[in-house]
Amino acid sequence: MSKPLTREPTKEERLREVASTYLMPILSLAALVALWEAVTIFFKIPTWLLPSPSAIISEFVRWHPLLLSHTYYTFYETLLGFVFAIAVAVPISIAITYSKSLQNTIYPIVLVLQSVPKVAIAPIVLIWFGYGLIPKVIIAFLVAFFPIIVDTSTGMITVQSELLDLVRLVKATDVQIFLKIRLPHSLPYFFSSLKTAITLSVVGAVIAEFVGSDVGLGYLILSASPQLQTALAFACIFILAFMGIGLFAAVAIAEKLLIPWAFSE
Amino acid sequence: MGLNVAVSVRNLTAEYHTRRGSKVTALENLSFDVYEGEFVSIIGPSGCGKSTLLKVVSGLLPATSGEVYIKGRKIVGPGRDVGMAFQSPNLLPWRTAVQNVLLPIEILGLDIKDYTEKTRDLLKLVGLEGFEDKDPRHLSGGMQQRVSLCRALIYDPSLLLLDEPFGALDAMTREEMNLELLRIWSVKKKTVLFVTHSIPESAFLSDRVLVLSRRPGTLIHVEEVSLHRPRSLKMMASQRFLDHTNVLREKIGAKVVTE
Repeated sequence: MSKPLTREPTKEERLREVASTYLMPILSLAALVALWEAVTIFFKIPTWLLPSPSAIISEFVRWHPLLLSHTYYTFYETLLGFVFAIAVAVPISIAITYSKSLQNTIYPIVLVLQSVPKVAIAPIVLIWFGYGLIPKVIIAFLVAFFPIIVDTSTGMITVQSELLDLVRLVKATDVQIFLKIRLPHSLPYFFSSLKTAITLSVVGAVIAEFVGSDVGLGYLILSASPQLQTALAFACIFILAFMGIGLFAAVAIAEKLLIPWAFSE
Repeated sequence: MGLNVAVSVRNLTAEYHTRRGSKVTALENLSFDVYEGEFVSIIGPSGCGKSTLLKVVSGLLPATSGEVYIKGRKIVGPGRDVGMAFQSPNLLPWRTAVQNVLLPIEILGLDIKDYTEKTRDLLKLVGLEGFEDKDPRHLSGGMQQRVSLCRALIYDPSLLLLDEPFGALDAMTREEMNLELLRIWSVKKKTVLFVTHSIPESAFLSDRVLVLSRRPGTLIHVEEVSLHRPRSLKMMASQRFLDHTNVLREKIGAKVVTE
């Protein structure tokens, strides 16, 4: 962090600020790629062991229709799992906020589900739901819904008790308290959990594809590796990374637009 | 100041149970009256049950025994006779100043349009003209506390219960807010019960100061403040003011020594 200024920043200072927030990460990443390229050339590392960035790029160009269609599947599974996770987690969050007994019955089940490694359940989910889209969506859902429940219910519960006292003076109903106070109060927590959940959904979808699939980037990595098509596998990995970053950024932008009040300047 | 009793507290005892199950007596056999339009402060050592007293008077907490009457009506639960403000302004960050003040109106199901004008007048009264449509994050601590006072006043309660409203403010802002509060009080003619830790603040603001003992809180002294109104900060240097604060300090301190 730069030191806070007591005066308006000058144009030069503002430029420097922009440079350090945007330019530095880009430059450091570029340096890493350059180093990687140099190492593969200098030590003559074979492409099947560690492909150079340029080899990965040419692989990407060569296979782009194939990569794109598989990306589409993984993206679709991820998004469906994510949306499904929100649809299930939000009502559960509300339920455990309002009912101690529901909290005591639902929470342990959720916790057990969360504690089981998803890779371990994936084969069973495949047995139940077959080879298609559904098991992928289920695994993506399973990895994503827990943080949403934990954070959203925390946001609903941690309303200041004095605020509740104030509205009780004017006889606020539970519905009013929920709509006017608890729900908006939980939004920053909710969005924070969505950022975790969306990146986890990508992981979940790929795990499910590893276990059994004939489409998706996970499947492509799995089938490229035994043929030592390492560059293709790397291309898939980069797409997954960009997908994760892109989805994270999309949620972060939605957050900034929908709840600007949650950001202090 | 009228002579009608606004608040009557009779033989009030308030107990509550901690999470571990042990019983705590916060207030014991407390009786006092507050007159209409009077400004009364409640002072005492930490944990003497001052905040509990306000909660019982407001009807938010039930009395274990004894009664509270507001304008002769026995209090059995929270009601709109009472407006409250706390040390934390508790504003909703997603609402502007005006929208925050209108929260009780929305909850009461009253017409927002009717009250929007009133809200702006109220914000103007507390010196927030030009800040009506600002978010709380763009307001200073003192300004936020002013909004919180407006929110307590908007539905026109007869009684204001203020629980250390200026406790978190710096000394300068606090003095400013004291004057501000007295000004609002003189315009709005509300009965005020004001909880504070500050002896000078209690003497400066009040008609009477009630001194509570360490827990369980009982009434150990009532100080009638003889300074004329309107009060000014200069009065805080007067001998009369110092006499009052010395008595208060002694009354609070004496109880501590005997323990």
